[in-house]
Amino acid sequence: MRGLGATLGALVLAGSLVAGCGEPSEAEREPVDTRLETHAVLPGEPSPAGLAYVHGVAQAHRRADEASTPAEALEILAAALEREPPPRDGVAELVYFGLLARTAELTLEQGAPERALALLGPRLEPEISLPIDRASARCLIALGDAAAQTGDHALAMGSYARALEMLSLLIDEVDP
Amino acid sequence: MSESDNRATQIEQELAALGEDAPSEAEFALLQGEAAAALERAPELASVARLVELAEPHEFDDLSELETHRGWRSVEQRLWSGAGDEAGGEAKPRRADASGSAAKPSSAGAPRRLLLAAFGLAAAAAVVLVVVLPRPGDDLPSTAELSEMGDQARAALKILDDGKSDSERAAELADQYAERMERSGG
Repeated sequence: MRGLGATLGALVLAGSLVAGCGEPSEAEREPVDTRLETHAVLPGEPSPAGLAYVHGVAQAHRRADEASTPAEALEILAAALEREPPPRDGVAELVYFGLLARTAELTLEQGAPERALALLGPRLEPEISLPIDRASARCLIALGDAAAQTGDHALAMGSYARALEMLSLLIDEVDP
Repeated sequence: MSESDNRATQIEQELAALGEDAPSEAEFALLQGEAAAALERAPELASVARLVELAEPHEFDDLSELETHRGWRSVEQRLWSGAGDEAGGEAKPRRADASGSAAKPSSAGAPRRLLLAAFGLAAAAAVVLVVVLPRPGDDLPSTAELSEMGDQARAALKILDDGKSDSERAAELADQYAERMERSGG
């Protein structure tokens, strides 16, 4: 498994290098950014603010489950997303990205890729470090889908490549 | 009587007053500061001393929180692997999640799922590599190629699915968070 993980990493890296080293074509070519900054999630010190945040998001998910329409569910989740998680709180960060992933996926299901792009783009910039978690991979895939649907193939490809790299890291975390 | 003899007598008297047995030759040598002599008389002490000596050059006292966390997790997994071997079965380490509590033990199907996920990722990565290679007249992948990449990523994501919904996961994390707060006295 470790050998396979190393092979995967080499393949993705090689792909990234090739993308960066190729000769520019005559037609204008948007750069494909496959950079991925990540960090392992550490629990951090529990705090009342963190507890309130995590409970709030759990509540939002429950209310969204009980919503009568997908649009109503989306409204509930989007409202919860406006609240920022407390800093240096690993659990709150995980919960936040889970909420972001679900909101983005639902937005895409509602046929609003531009809205999903606006939601995810700023939060998943390549310079931003993402937690090594399945929710991060979901967000990156959703970003890829939104970009593909809006015609931004460079962003779509970069997002999918980053998602694959995140998934490789996840496999390595679970079974090193 | 030499000073050493006086000291030996004093030690014996103090131990006797405490109801303790007199020190052995090795123990007495240690008390006297004669470490080398003590180690000669006690092979088990010599072994431990040698292990400490070997470990000292590799001592790390400047690990970050992440490095420490990963180091202890690695040790924990090796301990569980060793326990499994001794028991003659397959002991799986309980991986701590972000809340600090142990996750459920992996099911028997987990290794196969992970293997499938790894192969799926390999296929997807191969797609990335093939697509990224510059081809004459093509700048960026086609819609169909992008769609394939997305499908591969989703397939790998699905294999890593633990079966919990977002609501279930959030509720579980919230409960664990509350427990941690309670334990920390918050």
